[in-house]
Amino acid sequence: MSFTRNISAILLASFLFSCAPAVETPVTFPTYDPFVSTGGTPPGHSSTNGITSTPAASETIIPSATSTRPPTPTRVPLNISPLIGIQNQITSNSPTPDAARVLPTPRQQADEQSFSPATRLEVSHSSTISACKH
Amino acid sequence: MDANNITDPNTLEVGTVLIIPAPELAAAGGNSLKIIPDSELVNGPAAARFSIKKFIASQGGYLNQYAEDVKGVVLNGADIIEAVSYNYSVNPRLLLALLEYQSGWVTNPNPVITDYPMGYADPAKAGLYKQVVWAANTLNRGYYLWRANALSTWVLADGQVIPIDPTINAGTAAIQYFFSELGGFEPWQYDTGIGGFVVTYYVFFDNPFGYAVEPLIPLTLSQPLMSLPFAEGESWYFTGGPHGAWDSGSAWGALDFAPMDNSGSCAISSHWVTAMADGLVTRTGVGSVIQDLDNDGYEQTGWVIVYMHVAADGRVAPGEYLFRNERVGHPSCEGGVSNATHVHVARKYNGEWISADGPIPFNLGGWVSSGTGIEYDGYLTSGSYSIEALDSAQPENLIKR
Repeated sequence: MSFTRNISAILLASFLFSCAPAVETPVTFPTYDPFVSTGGTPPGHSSTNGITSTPAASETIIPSATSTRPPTPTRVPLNISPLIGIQNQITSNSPTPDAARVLPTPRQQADEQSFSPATRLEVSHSSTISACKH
Repeated sequence: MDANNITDPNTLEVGTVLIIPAPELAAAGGNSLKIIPDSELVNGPAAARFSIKKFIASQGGYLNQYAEDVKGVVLNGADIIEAVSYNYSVNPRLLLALLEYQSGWVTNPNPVITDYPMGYADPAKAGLYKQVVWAANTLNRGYYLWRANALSTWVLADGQVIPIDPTINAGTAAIQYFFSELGGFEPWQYDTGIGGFVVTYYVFFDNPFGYAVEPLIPLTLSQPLMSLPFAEGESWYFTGGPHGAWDSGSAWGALDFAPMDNSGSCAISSHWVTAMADGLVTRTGVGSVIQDLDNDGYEQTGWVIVYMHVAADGRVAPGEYLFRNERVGHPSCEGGVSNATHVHVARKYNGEWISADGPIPFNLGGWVSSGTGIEYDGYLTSGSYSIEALDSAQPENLIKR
């Protein structure tokens, strides 16, 4: 019985300890000044000796590139049709039409062709010396 | 067939008079949406630094693991796109976007495998290489016919004839023509409209007009000094007037010359094709030599000369610099389809084939090319003297340098 009481006391103590307030830390908010640290004094703008340093002179504020940690992000196949967006682009990018050109007049009347032994039904080049097709 | 009461589509009796009805234009007109600038049709300056291999690898689709035996050589997907884009001078970005739109081969590792990834279901054009060749040639045909103001209607795959919107540009005409070969009005309208092919292009490469190089061909452009493609003092036959620079869809940008010792055969000539201008050889292939006249190493920029049917034996190598009149190689039948030894020469500027019968004709040492409106027929004129191209070796078509 005493063993059970001891366990209960330990659990209760742990619970109460976990609810105790931690050491108070200042609340920080994001800032729109890129040279103002979110954790303290803006180093380039209000130095303690009144001399304003250039941002480049302060090593603490130069961001360094970090490599992307694995796994490498991959593109997910689109599950929506880009058609409407593209059609809007096509419409907005469509250039001014060319000036209308005068096209040849289509044949208006029936044509006749007599079929003889020498008639060929395709346009051809009966070359004997240099016909070539590549 | 209805107009002629023909029941058997495979047989015609001699003496039959065929009636070819006037086209019945559909009420609806063609799309006016400009899909790409002209510079995105050609393999031009904006494509010079585009890495086909890296792009295909980055997409991880079926094209990235594809390989095909092309004329005895195993080519992977990137090789095929590169070869066709360079040979036909068609922008690789456009070919890749079309391939993706038609079959998903660029991004999908497990697409529906088909023999016709560009969507042209012709058994004679099965496989990626032939499909991409068909696509490039078809795009070129639409582009250069529009350039020559030779089009007013599209005849769609289902026979409907629709008037072309007169405000489109040549690059857009190329794509509209491509899809006209594949479907009827509704799919054509969709493919060439705001929700069609252009969306795939945007997803891959963003705004095509962001790549625009304009003007692709400056109004003041003139041809640099060029000579006939054979040695001084020699005479060759002028055997081909303005005709397709590469395959049948490109501009009529080529001329043919045959040496005197060919006799109508395919034997390699002992004579030499000589450089028409100064420039760096950037590429050689089966029968081909590409010479870059602005020496930047990119055949997508500035003036470029293409020599075709140059035999491998004795041919100049890539990286060599040729001054005008230096030897390129021997004329032959090598490369493409050729029935007699000759050299075929063509020009590009900023990736666009320059027609030999257009506003910037060939000027080969004072001989200026012109055409008659019939492919392969044409003239070389110097002062008051003209020589007509002939399909034979005659004194009349012999031209002396």
